[in-house]
Amino acid sequence: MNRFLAVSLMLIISCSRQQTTQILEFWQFWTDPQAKPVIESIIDRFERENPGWQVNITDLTWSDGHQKIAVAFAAGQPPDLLELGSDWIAEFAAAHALSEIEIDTAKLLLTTPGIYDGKIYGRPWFIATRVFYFNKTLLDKAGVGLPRDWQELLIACRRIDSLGEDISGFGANSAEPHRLYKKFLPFFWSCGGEFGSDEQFSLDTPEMLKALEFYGELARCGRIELQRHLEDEFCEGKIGFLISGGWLLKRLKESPPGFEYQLSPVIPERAGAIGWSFAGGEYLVIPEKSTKRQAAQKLMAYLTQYEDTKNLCQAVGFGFPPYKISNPDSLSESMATLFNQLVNSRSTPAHSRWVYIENIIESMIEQVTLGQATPSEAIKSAQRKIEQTILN
Amino acid sequence: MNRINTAILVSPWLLTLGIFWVFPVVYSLGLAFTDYRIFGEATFVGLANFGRLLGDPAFLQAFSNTAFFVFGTIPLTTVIALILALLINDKIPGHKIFQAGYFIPSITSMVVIALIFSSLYARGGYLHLLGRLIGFDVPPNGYLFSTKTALSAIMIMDIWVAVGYYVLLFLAGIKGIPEEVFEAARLDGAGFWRRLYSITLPQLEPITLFVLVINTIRSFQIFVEIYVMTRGGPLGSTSTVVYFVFDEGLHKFNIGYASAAAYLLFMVILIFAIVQLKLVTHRGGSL
Repeated sequence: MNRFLAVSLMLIISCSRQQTTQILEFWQFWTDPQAKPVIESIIDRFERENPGWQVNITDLTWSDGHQKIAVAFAAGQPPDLLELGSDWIAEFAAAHALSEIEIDTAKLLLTTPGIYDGKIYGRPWFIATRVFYFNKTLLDKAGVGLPRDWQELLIACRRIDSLGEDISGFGANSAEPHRLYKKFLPFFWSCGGEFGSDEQFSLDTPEMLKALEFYGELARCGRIELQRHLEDEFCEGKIGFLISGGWLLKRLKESPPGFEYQLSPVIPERAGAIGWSFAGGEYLVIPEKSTKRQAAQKLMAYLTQYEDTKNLCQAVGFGFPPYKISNPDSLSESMATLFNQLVNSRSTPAHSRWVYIENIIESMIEQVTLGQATPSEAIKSAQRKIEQTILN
Repeated sequence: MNRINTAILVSPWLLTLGIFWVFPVVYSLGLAFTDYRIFGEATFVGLANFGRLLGDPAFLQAFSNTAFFVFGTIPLTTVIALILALLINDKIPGHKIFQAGYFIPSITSMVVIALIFSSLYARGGYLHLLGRLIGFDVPPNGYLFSTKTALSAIMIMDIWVAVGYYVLLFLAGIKGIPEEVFEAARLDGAGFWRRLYSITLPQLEPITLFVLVINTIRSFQIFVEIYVMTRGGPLGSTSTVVYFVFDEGLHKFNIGYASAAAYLLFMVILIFAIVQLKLVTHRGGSL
């Protein structure tokens, strides 16, 4: 009899525990062995401090994460909290898939990608940018100094390119989806380019022509390759100039190359002007269909605490917390270059169909770098596609 | 009772077939007549998607690339496989090693093979260097970054991968020809070429047609190589119909439009398969 009572009591306790534990679904992209433990430790702490809540982490990959997220939204089964790339927020916000959130933007950096149509949908979690990496040894061999404007950059790339068949002046990206435009837009922005508003979105501008002509010239005194191959070859000392992010710095620090390298802010069209770069980052959003929005908002605030984001950046080896930090002086010279560039970085327009626009831009650049069209022809053709498929 | 037992035993397979195969196939046929995008409602648009496809330069380019791929690889794969099968059948020294060697690419992951060939074709890769050494006008940034060479480079890799499987099929066909027929021909003074034209090739006709049918279907559906090596680039020069369907459906989320493209491809494959089957039955063979 006693045994029966004990078993019944245990069953009741376990059932009541199950009833009080609520599950929070969280989808995220940090899968590498350095970052994942940091995320898990933050989640463990959150669960301990919030009894009754259990967070289920689902890992996504950048290669097919966008598709999985879109399918989950379409099926009406999104998670409660979700990590998105900065340039995806507008697309999902425009489809009414995200819920508006309330955050204090005063202390945060790069909040604009999280804003669509004047409303905040995404909270910045991790931000990063791209700068120029240059091979100082090759620059010295070519007898040129660090370029201050486009003209000097082109001369430096040409001289380096003539050093040998295996040496390239500039590392130009091939049309890898989601990558090439991030390397090209800094040139467009750095000569004063703007895309215009949603309704009057235009590629056919003098600044686009100038940037495309220049990028085409750079590609002709360099090599066109996938990003990972370009980075491999930069590390082998075969490329003079390359645009890349903090992950390359981490790699160069871990395996120091046999040459001298340095980081430089994006080189502007004219000396003394600002060289703008592309700001990328990870943002946290709460889907409109989540039934646990309050708890999701709490978890979102928890994950984005300054110390935790700092730990995440340290574990990953690059990137910055999305906060206006007060003492960047404590950063190393290279990290300071990246941080200072972050201040002069921009995001792509919060356009609901940016995913398609970037595809058209990448095709336009590729036409020029492969010599299939003149910059002017490529821009006209891209603008026609924009008008036919995006603006209509 | 036996019928009930049978129904119970086959029901897992039938359910799987129904849910994961028949339903999506029928559902996507319905979607092909709508403007369904992943967000929002689907509206019936009749044949508009099919009409739009026929005027879409990206689809026409993908279709022409696919046709070039199919007609470029199938004859070469078939002929090379047949020659290799004949050589192996002649029991040249080490023929077992050759037999296994030819088949290994067929059982290796296409992703792994595509990554290896991407390195070989890249600027400074072994095949790029070899091309230069021979004196070819090689593209400066590697074979996969030129609109002139990218598709051909993928085709060469695909022939290398596919040949081994068809060698085995041909070999099985050759082994199936009665040895007495060859002996009788030898006694009548028939040489190698005479035996090949008068005995081996006619006897291999059903196998050859089978190889053609499955190779055609497989080649029309080429996707993994393209996805891993070029993503349809440069400038759409390696985009194929299946890659187009993937890009429209799972990247741009034009599900209705992508379904219509998939059904057009299905119709083309069906026509080819019917023609090939007719050829077999017309000649009195069977698959």
